[in-house]
Amino acid sequence: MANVVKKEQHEVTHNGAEQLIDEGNAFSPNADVYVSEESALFVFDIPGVDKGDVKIEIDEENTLYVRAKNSHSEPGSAAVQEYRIGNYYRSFKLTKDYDKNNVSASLENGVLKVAIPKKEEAKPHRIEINA
Amino acid sequence: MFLYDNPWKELERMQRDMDSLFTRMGRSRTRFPSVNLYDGYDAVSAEFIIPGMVKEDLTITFENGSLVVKGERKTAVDDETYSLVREERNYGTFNRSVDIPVQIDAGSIAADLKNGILTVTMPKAEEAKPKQISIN
Repeated sequence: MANVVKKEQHEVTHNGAEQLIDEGNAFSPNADVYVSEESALFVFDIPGVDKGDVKIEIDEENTLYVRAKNSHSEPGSAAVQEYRIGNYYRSFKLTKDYDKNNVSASLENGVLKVAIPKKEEAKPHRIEINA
Repeated sequence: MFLYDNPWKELERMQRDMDSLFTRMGRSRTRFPSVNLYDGYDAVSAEFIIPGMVKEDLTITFENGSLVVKGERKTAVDDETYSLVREERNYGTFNRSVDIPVQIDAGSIAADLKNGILTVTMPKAEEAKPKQISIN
C-alpha cells in the first residue's frame, strides 16, 4: 500500500515551486545554520530565484525540505563558467523540539531565511529566585 | 541537533569544502564571487553570484581591459541571541577582477542586480564586432 506522507505545508508564497524538484535534479545550496534558546534559523543562498518559486515543507518526521525553482535565464552559453545555475533542493532533519506549525520565511536578494521556533515545552524556563 | 537527510550528498559537500579549504591555504583566498562570462554577438556579459548583497555594497570599475567588482558581504544574521552552528556561505570583503579579452566600449557598460545575481553587460567596441563580408 502506498504510504502517503502528509506533509505540513508552509508556503512563502502562493504557487510554490515544482513538486518535481528533488536532490537528483537540483543543486544543493550552501546554508548557514543559527540556533538560539528559542529557535533555529536556516540561511540558504539561492541566487536567481524569484519570490513565489520557493516551497518549504516539514514532514511528520520533522525533516525540513526546501525546493526552489530557478527562472534566471542566462544570456547564452558561457565562455567561462565557474557557477551553474538551476533549481535548488536541500533538506535538514530537525529534532522533535522544533515546532513545524510555526515556520516563518523570507526571500530577499537571492537569500532565503527560514526560522523555526522551538515548541513551548522545549524552551528554557527562567526561574526567578525568591528573596 | 540537525542531522543530514542524505549523508552521501553531505560527503560530497565535505569534499568540496575541503577542496576550497586547500585552495584557501594554497592561494590567498577562495575566489568569491563566482563569475560566468558570456560572449555575445555585440556584447560580453559577466554574471557575478552575490546573494544577499545590495547595490550600495558594490563598486564596479572597468580599467585596462579588466572588470573589477569590489564589495563586502556581511553575515546574514546579526542578532546576538543566535549562534552560528554551521557555516557554508562566504562572507567578508572581496575584490574580484576579470580580464575581458575583447575591446569594450567602456562608456556604455551597464550593470543590473537581481535576486543575488549581478549582470554586467559590456558592449563590444565597433572594431571588435564581427564583420560580414559580402562577395562581389
